Amino acid sequence: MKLSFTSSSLFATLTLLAGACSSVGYDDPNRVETLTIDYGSTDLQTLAAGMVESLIVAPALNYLENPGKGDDKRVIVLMGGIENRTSEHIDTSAISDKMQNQLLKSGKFRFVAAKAGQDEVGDQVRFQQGSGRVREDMQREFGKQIGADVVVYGSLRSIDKKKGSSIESGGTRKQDVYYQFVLKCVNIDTGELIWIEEEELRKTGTTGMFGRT
Amino acid sequence: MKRSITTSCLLAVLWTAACSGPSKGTPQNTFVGGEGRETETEVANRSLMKSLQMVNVRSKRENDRLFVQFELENKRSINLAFEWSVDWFDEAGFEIDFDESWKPATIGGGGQETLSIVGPTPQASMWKLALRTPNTIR
Repeated sequence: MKLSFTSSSLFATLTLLAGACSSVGYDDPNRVETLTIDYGSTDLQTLAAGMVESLIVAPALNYLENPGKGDDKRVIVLMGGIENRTSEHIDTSAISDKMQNQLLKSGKFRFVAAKAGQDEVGDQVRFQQGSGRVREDMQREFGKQIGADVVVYGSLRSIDKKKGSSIESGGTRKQDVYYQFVLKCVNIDTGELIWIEEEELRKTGTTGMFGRT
Repeated sequence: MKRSITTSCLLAVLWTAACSGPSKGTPQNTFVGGEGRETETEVANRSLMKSLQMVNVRSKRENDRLFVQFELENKRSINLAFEWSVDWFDEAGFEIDFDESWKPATIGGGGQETLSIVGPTPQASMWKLALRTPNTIR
């Protein structure tokens, strides 16, 4: 009886101690993260990496002719939107930003600014021409920007399934999330779909009676 | 008195374990290859090396990019979870700043998985594949 009391006390003390300790530290942003089953940094990195590799090797996207392009015939891309059709709140612009970053580094593509960038450019040109503060010989003008050859856009979908705890499952709950990320590339000249890729992810989680395993 | 010391020691050990953060510097096995060179292997995790082996490495250059393909074989009879990551280098050995994230993967018992990697830039001529047991933030 006495031993049992000691063990219980020890367990209670340990639980309190474990709850009491806390820490903050920096970690490697490239580590795999499975804190929860929800969409996370590893999913972002995996989805973006798969698409980037496919875009880099796509023969249809090696070069596109346009008389105004001069010698640099690399494809000029407008990174369009990625529609979030999952049940989660996901900032899909983080995926397109990550892809754009890596594609620019790859040197395969040229990019034009998307809406936010174009708005900034427009504001700046209007400022340079209309404020009277910028030297006349250095003022930039409208009508000189390059135009995109293609638009890349896509959607992220998910199928989420949960199985509640039961006697059959030994009190554990199971969850399965499937992500499907589809990206398409359309030729602006012709409206033709010239590239499409699909990346899939599946995550499963089990929550036991005492927490996630 | 003796019992009290034992309990204190036990408490200290358990508290340390409970409060310690994720393990750093997880040992990894690396495979370095490149255009016109043999694949070199560096083993830091012998147990993983016994379970997970890289075979049949082939490469080609197409459209100015280095394509590398190989198989990873699970020598065990049960599922094997691991993480992999690839770094790329130019001819002079300088690392090319690209995707350095670790990717989780699982191969079924006795199974094989084909992995394809592509040089991110035309300058990428050497690659380093790292394999390690899961070192997940959870």
